[in-house]
Amino acid sequence: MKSRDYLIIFLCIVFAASMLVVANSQLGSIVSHRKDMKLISSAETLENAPPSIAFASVALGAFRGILVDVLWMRADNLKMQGQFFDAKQLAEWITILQPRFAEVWDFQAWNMAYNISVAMPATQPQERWRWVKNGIELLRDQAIVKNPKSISLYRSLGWIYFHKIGGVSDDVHKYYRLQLALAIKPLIDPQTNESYEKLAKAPKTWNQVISDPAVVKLVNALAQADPNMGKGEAIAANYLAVRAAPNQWPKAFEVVNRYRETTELETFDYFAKAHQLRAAWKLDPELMLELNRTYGPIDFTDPNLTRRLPLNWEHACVHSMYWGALGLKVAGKPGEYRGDEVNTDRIVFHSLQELFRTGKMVIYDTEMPIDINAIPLDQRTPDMPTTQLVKSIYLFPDLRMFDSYDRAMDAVVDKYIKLKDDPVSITNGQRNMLTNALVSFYQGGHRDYALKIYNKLRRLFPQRPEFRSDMVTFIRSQIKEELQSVTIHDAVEQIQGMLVDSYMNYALGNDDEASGREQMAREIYDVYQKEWVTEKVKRVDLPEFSMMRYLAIEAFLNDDMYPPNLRLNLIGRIKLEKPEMFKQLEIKANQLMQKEKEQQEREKAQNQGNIPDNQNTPVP
Amino acid sequence: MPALWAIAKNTIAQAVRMKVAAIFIVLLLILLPLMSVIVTGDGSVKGKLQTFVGYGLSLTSLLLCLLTIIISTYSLSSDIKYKQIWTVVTKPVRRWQVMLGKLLGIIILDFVLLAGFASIIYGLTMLMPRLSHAGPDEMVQLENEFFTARASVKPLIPDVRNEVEEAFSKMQDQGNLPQGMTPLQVRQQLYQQKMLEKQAVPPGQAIAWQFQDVAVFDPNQYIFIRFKYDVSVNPPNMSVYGRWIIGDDRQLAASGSSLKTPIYAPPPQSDSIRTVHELAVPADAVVDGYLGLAFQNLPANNTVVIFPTEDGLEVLYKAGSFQGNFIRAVAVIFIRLVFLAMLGVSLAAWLSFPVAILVCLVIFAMGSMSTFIFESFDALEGSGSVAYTLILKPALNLLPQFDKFAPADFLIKGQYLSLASVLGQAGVMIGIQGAIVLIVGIVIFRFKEMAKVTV
Repeated sequence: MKSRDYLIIFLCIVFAASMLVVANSQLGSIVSHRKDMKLISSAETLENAPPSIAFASVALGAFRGILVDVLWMRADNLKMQGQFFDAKQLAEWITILQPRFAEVWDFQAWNMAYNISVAMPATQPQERWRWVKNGIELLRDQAIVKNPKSISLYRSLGWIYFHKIGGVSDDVHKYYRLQLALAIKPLIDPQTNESYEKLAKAPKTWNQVISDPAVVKLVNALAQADPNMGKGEAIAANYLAVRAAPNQWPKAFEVVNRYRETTELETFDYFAKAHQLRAAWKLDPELMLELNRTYGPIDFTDPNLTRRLPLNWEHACVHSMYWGALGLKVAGKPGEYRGDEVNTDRIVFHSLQELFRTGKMVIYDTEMPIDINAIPLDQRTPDMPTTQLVKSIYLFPDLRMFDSYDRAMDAVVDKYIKLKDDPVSITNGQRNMLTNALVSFYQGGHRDYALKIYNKLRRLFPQRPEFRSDMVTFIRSQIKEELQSVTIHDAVEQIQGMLVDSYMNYALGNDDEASGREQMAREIYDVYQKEWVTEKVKRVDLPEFSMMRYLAIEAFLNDDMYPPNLRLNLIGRIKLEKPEMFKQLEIKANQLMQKEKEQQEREKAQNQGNIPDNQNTPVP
Repeated sequence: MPALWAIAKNTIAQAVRMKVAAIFIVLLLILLPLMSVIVTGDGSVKGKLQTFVGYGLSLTSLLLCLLTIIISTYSLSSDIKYKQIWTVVTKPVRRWQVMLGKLLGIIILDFVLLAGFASIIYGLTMLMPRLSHAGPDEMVQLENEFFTARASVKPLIPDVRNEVEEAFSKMQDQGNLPQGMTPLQVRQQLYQQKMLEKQAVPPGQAIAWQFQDVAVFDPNQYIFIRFKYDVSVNPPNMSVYGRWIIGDDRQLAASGSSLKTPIYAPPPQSDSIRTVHELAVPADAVVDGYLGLAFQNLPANNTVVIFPTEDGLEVLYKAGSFQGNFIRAVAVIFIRLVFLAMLGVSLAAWLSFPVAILVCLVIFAMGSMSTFIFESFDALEGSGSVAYTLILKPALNLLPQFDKFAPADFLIKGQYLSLASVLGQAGVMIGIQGAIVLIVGIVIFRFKEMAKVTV
């Protein structure tokens, strides 16, 4: 080589080296920018990562980014074509390749729970539910496990429970609530404080539970009774199946019957339930107990109004509250109040609000017509049933949750006052909340509690003139305000609606609320008559109140929206407590009893497996 | 002919001896059954099958394409490089016979391998419902939506050219032509507007379509109305309430007569926008190949519903069996393999192995992304580039378009893949594109100097 060639080589090496030095000098600021834009994964090494993640991170090297892009594009293309069969698989692969980006998990879960689920027809709620569950499971079972310090994931999971299942935006939200309630009910019954304490104290591992020789005897008996019970921890899961469907496990159920009322069965029972809550639902019974004690509804039978009942874990908003609270506990930074923290805090608060507004759930069997078009032509027969039993869900306000809701509101106001200069918007919200609660308690017949709230209003807002009068005057003024633009038809509708509500509560045994509603109806009636009806002008007067009560009972008994057995309940009570009214309603009662009998016969046939009942099967 | 066959046999033997072939075969033999176990799809049996068939066929196609490229480029180029070709060209064997013999051997090998792996995929697909313990409802769903071959009929695209011209002339006469736009661009915009008017349904109003040639096999089966809504203004719940009426609407025109065939009017339903939905209707709604369809945009919607031209509406009906569709899908893959074999053999005739395989891989990659490439370059046509229209576009048309006819997509959607379209693709890919490439290769090989004359 000539000396010129050596010179060129030397210059190239110097140039390359200088470029490397310049590039290296930029590295610090690039890393800093990446941190600010949250583009770097956590500092954890891959040592403890699952094999799939470790492989994907190491083996693919720089090609991981390209593969991720390909997968995202495929997912988007399939979504545009309306093909969702691959969505879950793609979401799993994308999250394997990008496990530390919380936003990736968040997006995929949201995509499944919101976008893909509504692509399924509303006539196939079970398909929609499957996608909502897919979204929940992705976050709960994988995202949070791999990113426990990412508070936004807890918030997103809480939001799906709160908004998708607990809200009304989806046409089939009632189906979601029902499936959630039916799935968790066997694990939390009898839903008393004692039972939750036992769940929290239950052994956490299989080895712990079989350290009790009496439990070992029970477990061996179960395993010997039916080989399908399996071995080890599998027996616990199958034990729950035995309790849920004894007909399918006759021999094992015999063993359970033999051990009924024994301590070892109770121990094993609580272990199995707690184990399932931890393993399948990822719920920690200890945190559940803590939340019960912190936010549980007040027991109104307690004269001191301090004893708390367990939360209603069948309600979606309790789950949203759980995940919000867990997120704040595990991933929150107490000294800071970041955006993610604020949003997660709100999930807890809004969950309590919703539990106050709709926390009571009643699940009933109702008869619904079968959609004949959904059955293939070759499967239709002339004598096939035209109706089927389905479970329906009704939600009512739970006034017992007010205390927790109120304390949460106080905490939010305090935080707001510390962080914001102008707390007017939040305190206005608090005033409205307290005013609405006051009316609800008054309507519900809880006058003492209503007075407590009113006194709080007076204490917090002493300058407001409307709180200077007594409570009853204030409530009446609220009613009057509402009635100002009301026509006679609206008034009849309001009073009628309140009376029907009263009789429904009466049928359910909520006597206090029934009485409160009826009193409220009476008060509206009185206010209206006083405002609009004079001796001279009786053009817009209302019928006699007793007539309106009778019409309301008729309306309730004739409304097929309410299950026959609920309406029969009302008739039963009227028969006992108001016999003269009962005579008038006897004819209706006979018709309802006939309907109830037919419904029971159909239910019996369903339990024996003669008629498919895919709408009633709870999904674990 | 005996020469051709002898060369083909030698090529097969050479390919079988190649380690890369063995690796690919073992890889597929392991991955396909493993995939059938680990794929979950969306959790349903149908989703699982769709995922397995989709990825299984795609993986098989990809690996066999790569194997074909490697073998076709290596076989001839290695013979040339290691001078083994000298022992052949000195025989009374024409050069074109050498190339065709190589091609024949590779095609036979591809056929055997593809048939084998396709059989494995088919067998696993038929077995999976049983292994997944699919219930009766799921089996019915599979029969209707997966183990089927549904042909599709789309509504005729309305002809709005006259209306466009009328509107254009009116604008021109009134001097209202927009500034900064060419007449072509104005016409294109008017065309889009007119098309939108034909496809849009204001609230409270209805739109009707007529479909001919809906050849239903069995009136006891179902047909499927596949639709997608777009809207002018997004509704709050991102859903639209609509009512569909399906049947022979010609009966309604004859006043006073009772309906001889059913007209179905399912209850109004709410469906999310910009998402594909399917509505199942008994096939007896079709009368002598005719189907009337009407959609009413319920007044509660408060938004205009639009049915996009491309995928707004189509009627699907069973036109064949899954087995026939599967065979045709495999045939499409085979056509690709034949093209790649032709390409590889042709390039190997005049390029070295590394260069030939690189060119093949680039063409394969471009063929797999042809839709994206065409869409990207179409923007040039819009800007009136002559170079694109006269030179680049014809050159692009010579590229194979593998992604245009993805066989797995047909099976996943249960969509009928007609023999005509398969033969058409064969005609283009093998008959035209492959033939051109092969002839060029043969001509070059014919005049290629195999050895220097030394005196």
